[in-house]
Amino acid sequence: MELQIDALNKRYGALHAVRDFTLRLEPGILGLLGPNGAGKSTLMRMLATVTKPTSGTIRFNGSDAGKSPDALRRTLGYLPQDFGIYPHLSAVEFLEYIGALKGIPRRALRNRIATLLEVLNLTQAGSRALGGFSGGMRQRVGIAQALLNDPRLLIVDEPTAGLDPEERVRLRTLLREMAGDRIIVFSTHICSDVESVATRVAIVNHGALVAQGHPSELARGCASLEDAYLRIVAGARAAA
Amino acid sequence: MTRVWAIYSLAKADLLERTRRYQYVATIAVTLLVGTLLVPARSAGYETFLIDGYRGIYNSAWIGATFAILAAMLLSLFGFYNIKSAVERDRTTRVGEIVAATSVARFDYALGKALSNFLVLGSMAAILFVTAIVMQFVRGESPAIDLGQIAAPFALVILPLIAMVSAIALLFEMIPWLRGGLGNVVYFFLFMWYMIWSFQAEMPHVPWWRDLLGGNLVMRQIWTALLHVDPRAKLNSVDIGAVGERAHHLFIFHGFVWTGADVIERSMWFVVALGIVTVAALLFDRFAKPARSAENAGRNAVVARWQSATAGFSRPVIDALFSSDFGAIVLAELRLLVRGLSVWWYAVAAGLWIFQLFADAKGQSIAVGLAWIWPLLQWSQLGTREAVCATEQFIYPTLHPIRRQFFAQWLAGVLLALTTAGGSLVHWAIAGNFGGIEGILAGAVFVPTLAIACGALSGTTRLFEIAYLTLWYVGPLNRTPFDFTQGAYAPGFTLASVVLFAMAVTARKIRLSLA
Repeated sequence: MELQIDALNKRYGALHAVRDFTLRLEPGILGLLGPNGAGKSTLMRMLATVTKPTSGTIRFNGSDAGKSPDALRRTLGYLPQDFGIYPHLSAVEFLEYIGALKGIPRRALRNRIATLLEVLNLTQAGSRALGGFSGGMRQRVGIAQALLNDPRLLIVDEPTAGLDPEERVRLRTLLREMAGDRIIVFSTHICSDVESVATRVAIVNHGALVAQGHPSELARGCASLEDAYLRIVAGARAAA
Repeated sequence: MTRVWAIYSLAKADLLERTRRYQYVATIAVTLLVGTLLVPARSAGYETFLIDGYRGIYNSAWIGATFAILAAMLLSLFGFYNIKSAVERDRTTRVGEIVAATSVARFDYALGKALSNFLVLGSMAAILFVTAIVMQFVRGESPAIDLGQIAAPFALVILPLIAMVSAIALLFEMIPWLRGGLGNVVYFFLFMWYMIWSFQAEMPHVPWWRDLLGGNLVMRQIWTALLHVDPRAKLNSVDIGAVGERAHHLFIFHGFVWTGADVIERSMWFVVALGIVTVAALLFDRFAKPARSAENAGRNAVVARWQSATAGFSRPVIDALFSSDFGAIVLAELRLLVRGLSVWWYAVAAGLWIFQLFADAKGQSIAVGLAWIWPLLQWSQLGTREAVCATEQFIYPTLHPIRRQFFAQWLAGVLLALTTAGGSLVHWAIAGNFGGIEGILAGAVFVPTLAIACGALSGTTRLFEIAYLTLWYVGPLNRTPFDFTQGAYAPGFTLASVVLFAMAVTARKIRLSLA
């Protein structure tokens, strides 16, 4: 299984959000780091087939996701950075809805929802209206919907935002356990999250890929991955 | 099977989300109320359906027929505004981005949403159906209830109609420029045009595509029955919603005789609706954020140049007028109201201003009416902007949010009304007609007050858009007592403004307490 990104570009009028982005992904966890507005979310939206690139290609197992997105969508789990819920539906009803859209048969879906609610510590709140959920609980519902179809490709944009320390650790453990034969792409501002789970890190600045490698490789010669990240971004800014 | 399950789940989730909102409860309550009003008592002082002074006795056949005609009008106009939010909800709640990443087909998504629209309208029709039965029993003119005679017109007239309205609402949501307030205005005029065109058709052979509302189909049956009773009855003298009138004669309408051709022709609308859903599906952008077009960028550049050229001139004047703290808020609200308008908007407003100046006394209603339909989408922001732009959390905790911000927003709306009707004010002042000035002043207070009340009560722009368009059509355009630009009716509209403003403040206070 592989995800090949070739010369990807995205423009919004004069804004060049993603520039000539090329990367090949194999099973493992890719941590995407970059300052605010670096183009991480745009890149993830393109990988999730929500937004079409201005130019360039995304190939999933050799199939062009731009031309035939369904092959990728069938096996995709996606958690947007800024997602919403239907406030008057319960967590179970909402997950049933998304599960049906993902094409999961009814019986299998019910079992899957029960499992995910348990894993994400939401079983007690499953029948409550989502409008009354805290930010962290909503985030966990978002994670649950991304995992519904047991995705081979999981794209999660800032999944730890709004989670308390205990839930963050729980999510990191979950991602590590899932990683085996899946491709997981997740973006965050928290370097320690990347350091603890990612098998590979990509640093993005002004829409371009400025560094990539194993966390320990990037952090070599620095006090931590955070130091390395700050130095790389500062270097990229100076060069620009 | 999985596709059917997906469509079913889509419609179900959307329906649950809608029906659990308090707006739906309010809709059902209003539908119930309207249903009871459609069958007035003999002493009520109005009739809902008269033909040359004739009304059918309230048996199942007559109630079924008249309910079908009146429900068709209500559901096709007000129903459209009620349901036109199925896709918008996915945009505003941002569930759309999750949906876009699933493998659900565009057509399945569109069909699920259209089905949900259909079920919401169907639930309103069901309420009217039950009300029809209850009202026949309550009025007691004919105790024998024939369910088939009530159900048949509902099935043949209402079901195809709401299928079409559901599909059209979906189509409007898929076309970017019809998605918002402009689409609401376009639909209103489209509806009025179609209804008039439909009722102008030569009876009895009206082609099916000219009778979506089913009015001609039902009328043909009633006319045939009436001609048996009174061959000299003037069939074209139809009064719908005749206030102050009473039926001079009652007759017995025995019910419908449906032919196979009628059923086939009405069923054609389901096919057309499916076609519209297909077109809507093709236009569905899967929530991809559209890039700003070069044309818009160009137009905005013109506006920016114009604004920068006039900034130096206008600011000192305006700042002097609004130097106080409250004045600054009013100015900010006024800027928000007109923000982003193109030069063409101002050009048309200026043209209408000149038209008011030179129109004669009779033409003033039309001139001011046109000038006050132009800022419709600006006024519809009143009372809703905080919810639409999600700025409630910033605005509600400010100092005296009602006395300052809410009042300033209302005042900005009044200033916009006074400015756009300035030509008429000057016209009446030159003519020395203070009644005319009184009418404009009362209207300039009434319209933004209606807007802010509708916005604060509903939290959406649609309630004002449809209420105002309807009032505007029956008022200034047809010069009835609902003409809010006439000095003669100023006291009534001033009183209405006071009541509406009190409602708006109460609604905002409730929102503040719940925030």
